[in-house]
Amino acid sequence: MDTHDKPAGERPDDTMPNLDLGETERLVARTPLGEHTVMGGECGDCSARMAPSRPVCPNCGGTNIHPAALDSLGTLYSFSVVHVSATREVPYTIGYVDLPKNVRVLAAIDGDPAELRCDQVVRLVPDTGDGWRFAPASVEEKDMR
Amino acid sequence: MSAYILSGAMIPMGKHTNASYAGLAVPPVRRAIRESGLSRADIGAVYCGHAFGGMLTGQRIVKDLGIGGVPVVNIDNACSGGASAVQAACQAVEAGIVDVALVIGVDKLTQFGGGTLPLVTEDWEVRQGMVMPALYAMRARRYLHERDATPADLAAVAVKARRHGMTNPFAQIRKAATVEEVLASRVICDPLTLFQCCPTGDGAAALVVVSEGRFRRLGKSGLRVRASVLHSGTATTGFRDMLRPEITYHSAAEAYEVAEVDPKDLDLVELHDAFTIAELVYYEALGLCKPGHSAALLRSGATSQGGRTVVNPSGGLLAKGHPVGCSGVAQVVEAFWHLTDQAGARQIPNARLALTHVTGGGISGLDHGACTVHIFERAS
Repeated sequence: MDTHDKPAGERPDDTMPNLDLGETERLVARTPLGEHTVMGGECGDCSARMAPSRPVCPNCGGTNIHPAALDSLGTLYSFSVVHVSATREVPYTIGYVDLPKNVRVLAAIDGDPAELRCDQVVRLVPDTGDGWRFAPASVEEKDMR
Repeated sequence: MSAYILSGAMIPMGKHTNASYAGLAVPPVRRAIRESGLSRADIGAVYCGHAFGGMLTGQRIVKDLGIGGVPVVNIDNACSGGASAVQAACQAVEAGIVDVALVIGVDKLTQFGGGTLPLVTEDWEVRQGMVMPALYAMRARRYLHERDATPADLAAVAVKARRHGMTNPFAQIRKAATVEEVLASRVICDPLTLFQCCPTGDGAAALVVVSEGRFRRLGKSGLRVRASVLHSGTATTGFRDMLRPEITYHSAAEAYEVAEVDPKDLDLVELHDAFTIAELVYYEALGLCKPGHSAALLRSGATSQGGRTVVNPSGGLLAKGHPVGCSGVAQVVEAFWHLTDQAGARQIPNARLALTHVTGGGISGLDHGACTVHIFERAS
């Protein structure tokens, strides 16, 4: 709706806050084949993908963002076992996972930390709570990729 | 017209549990004003950098000294808050808006009782368990993966910092450590161990910044501000090279361009070594060596006391301490002492050019929220 014929004080766009803290976000989607994938957003204007989704696209500044089921396989860019934290019980392992089409997510990483390597293939673990979990992918999955 | 640093002062960093923000900052402010040769009445504006001081931190400090009736601006830019206050003061002085500015950097981390820095939980990654040492630990892991370097190279940064800190009476840690001791200290965020992380502490530092005209009339020695740069980070939702922090690259590039200074001309650098890995990454980002050559640069001794470009002669954040909002101002105090031949046992002979660098913040999508780079030249 074009509202620019109205005076600025009566235009409805960008006059209400983005309620970005209110709802528990849907972080995991299921494809028709039953596969779990990361749920994020895709900008309809510039095609930038992001996870989690957000109200405004940091790439182009637009708000034409729709939900998008992203991927389940990614590569582990780096990781750390956290032994001192202000926010939760330790130890826990977090890492940056790069998904196809230039999406990076911070996620919990399962598995023996001593076996983890930078650039290894990791797969989304379905039973997520309020964030994503990834674990090293099986040999077959790596080949698939 | 350049801005000039006329005086600088600080308290030793440490656990000053029984001192308030004013208690921490009033002594160095008094001393900086006294050593400037000016009086309270000359101060035209106050810029106070801090991250955790709460409302009106600057006013709580200067009112105790009877300074009032002037603009007092409080600046939070996380760890870069103090340096952002320096930048704001320099900008106001260079623009001719203020003739004499007082800069304060102060923070009191003992109020949190230890542990990692409390980050803003509105941030998605913070909710996922991100803490500052984990961010740097991931950088370190990637560095060890991509570069011809070992954990001993990371530890060597802490060994150098502590060796430098031993000669600095203002340093929180003045005890040497070997590579083995650094690696054997307890793990904070793998692969970073305790001795590879800056200590928690309290501190305050102050500077008097004046116009060129005022500096010339006073006829004292001081520092000419050759560059004063503040940048924010640029967000991305995708890939980020953690070994090429873009925010420091573009902040440093602008500083060198403005100052017309080449990195190889610098006599000393005080850079943001909150964790060992940071120093190596920033050697490259600040142009002290080519990308990929940082571990070799450290091993060569060129950045140690007596070397070509001494990095963190104060002991850096790793040994001197890192009360976040204070650090950017304390770095300038260190540069001031060297460039005015007042650094005592750790004096770098004939130091002429110094660079200070401090980044700020852990929020998702960015290297860091803020980065401040200053270049100073000896002046008289």
